Amino acid sequence: MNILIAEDDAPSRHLLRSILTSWGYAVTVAVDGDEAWNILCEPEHPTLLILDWMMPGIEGTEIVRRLRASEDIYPHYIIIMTSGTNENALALALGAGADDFIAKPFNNIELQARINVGCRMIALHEVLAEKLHKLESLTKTVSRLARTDELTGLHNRRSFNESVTLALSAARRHGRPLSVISIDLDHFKKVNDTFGHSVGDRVLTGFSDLLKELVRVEDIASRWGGEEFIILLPDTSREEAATLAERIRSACEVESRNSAPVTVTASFGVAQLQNGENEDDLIRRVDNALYAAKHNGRNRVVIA
Amino acid sequence: MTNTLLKATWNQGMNAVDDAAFITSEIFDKAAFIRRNQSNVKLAGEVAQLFRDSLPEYIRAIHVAVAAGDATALRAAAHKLKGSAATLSLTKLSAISGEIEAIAASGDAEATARLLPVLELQCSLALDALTNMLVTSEEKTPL
Repeated sequence: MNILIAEDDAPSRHLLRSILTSWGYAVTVAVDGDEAWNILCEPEHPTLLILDWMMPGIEGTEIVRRLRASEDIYPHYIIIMTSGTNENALALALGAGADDFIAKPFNNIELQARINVGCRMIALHEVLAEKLHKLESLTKTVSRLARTDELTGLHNRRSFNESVTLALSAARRHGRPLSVISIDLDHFKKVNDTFGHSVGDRVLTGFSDLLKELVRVEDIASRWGGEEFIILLPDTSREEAATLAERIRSACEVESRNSAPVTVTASFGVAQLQNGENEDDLIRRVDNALYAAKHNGRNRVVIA
Repeated sequence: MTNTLLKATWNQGMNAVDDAAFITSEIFDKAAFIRRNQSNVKLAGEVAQLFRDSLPEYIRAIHVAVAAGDATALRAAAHKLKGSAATLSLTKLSAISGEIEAIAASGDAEATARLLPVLELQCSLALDALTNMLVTSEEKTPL
């Protein structure tokens, strides 16, 4: 444990440092409030502080206020020390945000007891901080899982719905185009029925890998459900979206030929957001385009 | 009346300089000071020496503040001496410094001026007491 002492009186400072050192603590010393504050502004600094109240430069209680104002949780344990005769000194020190108070000249046994409390509190804070860190990490994982399709690793429907709302709003605000591609694997049911669900799953993951390869980082490639997929394309016109759809269709076809006897093609609908449309309107139009692609013989791209 | 009182106090102080036995625990509570230093005589000697080195500056700061009529500076300087003297268990010096600190806050310059000679006397007694302790320590244990 490293303890910061901020004390402007040389004899008191030397005595305190010597006693703390003899108790086995590492000690950092500041001769006034300004030096103490500079030490506390360093990335690595002591967390247990014994601050004189009245010092040249920044006073002890002001250091406490500044520290508390800059902390999310309280990682510092602060003992204010003073020889003041103000009967409200204890209340004022605690009111400023100090954890404890000790009067000068201090009793060594009392000082040691108060430092022990400080060490215990810091240890508790460290445990709490570690648990909070784990909780944040778990929350991120849960959040990611809640937005990810388990089989394919693509965005799931919930994630797409959240993204499309934001993307529509941004597209309208900035006057930028926004397109979507709706995809359905052709005769996928036959694959499942003929080769079994594990092969069907491999087809879905293989097609998803293809999507991940071909879309941009800013695009949201999602599994809509079953063998249906949908891609959200910010800053993209329907012509650009159609070009991408054709690239995916063609790659899928080539891949499929190489994977005989499991051959799978895909049909595509493409639509660009129009003035006055909401997300439901856009999805309806792109689905209609997809149905047209299916109706016209599958393995093709139809632009709405 | 004040002069008579001061003279009597001063004479008392002068006698104390000649007679270390006069140094009572009210002036310097040596036992408490040694205890505060965890019975480490060497450390006690170092702390006492630091106080002796610091005292002239502490007194000077008080005089400068009085001369300038700066109540805030006087309060800070007296507070510092009060705390330092308390650490050394120089009970009377700490008390008189505390009085000056309190009076400074009230802004009564006349009352402050009356206390300054008493402060000087207590400083003198304190230095004698610490010198005596250091000499005694040196005789017993090399510092």
